[in-house]
Amino acid sequence: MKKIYLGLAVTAATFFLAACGSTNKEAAKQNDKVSGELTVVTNRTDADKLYAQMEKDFKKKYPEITAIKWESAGTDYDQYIANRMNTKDYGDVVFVPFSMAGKPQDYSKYFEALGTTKAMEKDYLDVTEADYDGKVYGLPTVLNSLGLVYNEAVFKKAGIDKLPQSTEELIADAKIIKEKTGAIAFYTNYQRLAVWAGALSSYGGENFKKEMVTNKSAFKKGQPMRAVMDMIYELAKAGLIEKDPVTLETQQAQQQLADGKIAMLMSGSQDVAPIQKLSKDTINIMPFPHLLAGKTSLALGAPSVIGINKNSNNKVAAKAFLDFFIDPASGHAKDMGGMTPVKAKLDASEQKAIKENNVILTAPATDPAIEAKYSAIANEVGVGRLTDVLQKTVNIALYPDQNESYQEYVASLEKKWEAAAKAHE
Amino acid sequence: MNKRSLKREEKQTILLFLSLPLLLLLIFGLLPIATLIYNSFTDWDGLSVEKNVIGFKNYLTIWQDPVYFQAFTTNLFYLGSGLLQIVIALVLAILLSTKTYGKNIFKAVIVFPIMISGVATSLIFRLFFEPDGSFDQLLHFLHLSKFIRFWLGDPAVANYTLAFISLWRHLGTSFLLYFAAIQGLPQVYQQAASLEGANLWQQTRYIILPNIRTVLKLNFILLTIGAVSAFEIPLIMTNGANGTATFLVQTMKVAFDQKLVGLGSSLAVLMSLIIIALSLIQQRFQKEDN
Repeated sequence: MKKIYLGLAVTAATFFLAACGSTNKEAAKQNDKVSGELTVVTNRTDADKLYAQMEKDFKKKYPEITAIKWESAGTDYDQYIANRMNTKDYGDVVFVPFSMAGKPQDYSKYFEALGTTKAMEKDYLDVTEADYDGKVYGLPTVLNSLGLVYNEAVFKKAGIDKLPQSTEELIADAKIIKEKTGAIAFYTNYQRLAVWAGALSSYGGENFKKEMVTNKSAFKKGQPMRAVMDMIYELAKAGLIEKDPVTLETQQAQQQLADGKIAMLMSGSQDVAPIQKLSKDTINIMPFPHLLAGKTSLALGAPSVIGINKNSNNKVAAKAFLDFFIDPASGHAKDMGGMTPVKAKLDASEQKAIKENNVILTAPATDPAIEAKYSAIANEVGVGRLTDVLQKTVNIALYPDQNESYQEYVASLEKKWEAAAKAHE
Repeated sequence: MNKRSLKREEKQTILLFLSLPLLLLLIFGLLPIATLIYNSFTDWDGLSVEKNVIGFKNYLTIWQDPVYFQAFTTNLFYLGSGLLQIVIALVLAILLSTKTYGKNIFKAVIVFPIMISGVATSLIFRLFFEPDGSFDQLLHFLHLSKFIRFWLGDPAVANYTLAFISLWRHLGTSFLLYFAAIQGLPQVYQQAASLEGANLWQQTRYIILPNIRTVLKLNFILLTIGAVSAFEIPLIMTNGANGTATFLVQTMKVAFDQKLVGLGSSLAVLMSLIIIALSLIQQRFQKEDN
């Protein structure tokens, strides 16, 4: 019996000590110098080398930093960090989950405000990725442009020298490409159709959410979601996409684009460099074929947003690290094939591109009330993520006799949207 | 049974030994279930700090919209493949428990798929079923080219393809259960029967089947549960598009894509209730058997 009691005592003591440990940690004082240890939570599991280099450079800049702990979750980062954010322990510097954009009023509960939107706008691009009520809670780690990545050689071979500027032109070009080169004109990327969400502001302007909410309509001809659906539907119906969308993987498709067997696919500028490496042809990215105010748009967006944990007790160091991370000197922007959000550090060609194009943000500043309403309605209709609708669109186009007609489908979505918009008035 | 009350010390010992597993069960078993049930009465979106209790509204929504239960028709494909699985596994187990040439190789081939992870399975089969992939080549070779379809894309065949993959993947589990049960039978029965001149069919009918009845029943229960909760194959292979969304895929989409965790939880609760009900009905039938 004695042994049992001894065992119990030891167990109890362990628990007690563990409990002590955690309270001690919480009670620790704010460190107001750039020193100590930092924990960084990111969504990249493939960047160990880059991160190691960053750590070295950062320590060189701030010798009092003892260590940087990198933690990352590759698949479904948003879900992972959302679960972890139920505790206080989610790193010091942390990638802000995009899914929070639907509830921007909660940013302040989890993240440290980095400054006011007005003040930060002067120094940074795209400060509204994670903002609420005039305050910024996260900055883009890097800015990528979104558009159609294409193989220039295929376009040249088909005799196309002007990039398409409307859906009709795109389809006409795609037909020529198919006829003259035999290449698959357009790869739908069936498994990852959700990326089209970033294209909506290029089709409907930065205020498209407000329009869709206040007009209680989203699927009439010309509206952004409908425009994207129409384009994909027409392409699929005319047989201009890959043979069997379900089975062709992104990796294979990128290789085929490099080989000139696929002419274009929708993606971000971060994919241009890796595909270029596979190819002897020139790979480039074009804006979405749609004019806004007479110009095509340069759709800029952040693949990830970085912020500071509100519960961190090393906030000064965390801020220093955040600034370092988004600076071109960290090498992150280059690694991602994009540009830094720090205005002062943009290079000449980047400044030129911004001046010459309509800069459209893929996550534009939106009134939080509208944003919340929009996500509530979109989620109820089931178009909060575009994957399902666009997959269905492809399926309807490919197998018309086994599905409802496209018109019926669009009409049913419009009806659902109207009903949901009324319910959330 | 000895009904004398336990001594204090004995009670303490039992409590001590039970405390840790009980704690684990509470934290990792019961707590999530309780949370799920609680969530099913809220309008939680999975992220927000706010959780409003809205009573039975989620359940009413499900009741009023037939869309949610339509997904069960997809599950029927998996029920079908499950039935096939029971029969094929049984035949294989009986054949391989007799003296067969290359027994170990066959056993390995049948059991092997269990060990491959679901994601790897889907990658393999996506390659296998792609246009001009291995399966189409095989059909060409057999001069069956005219039957070639887009096996995963065409809504008319996609569910059959997926159910087949499910069969391939889970066959080993059933096989192992049967095989172990048959190996456990005393050899003398079959020896005696074959001395009397019983052939393999008669041995199966009168010796093997009656003796592995428990395992058969177990397999039926597992099959029903498996069919109702078919999930990972349709999710990874087709993302539930093209009419391949099973009930659980739909539940997951409602909860995490549409961010209606409350509604998704109620769907999950309903599914659990359905599984419990099915198992109870089966048990009732089997009791009558005995």
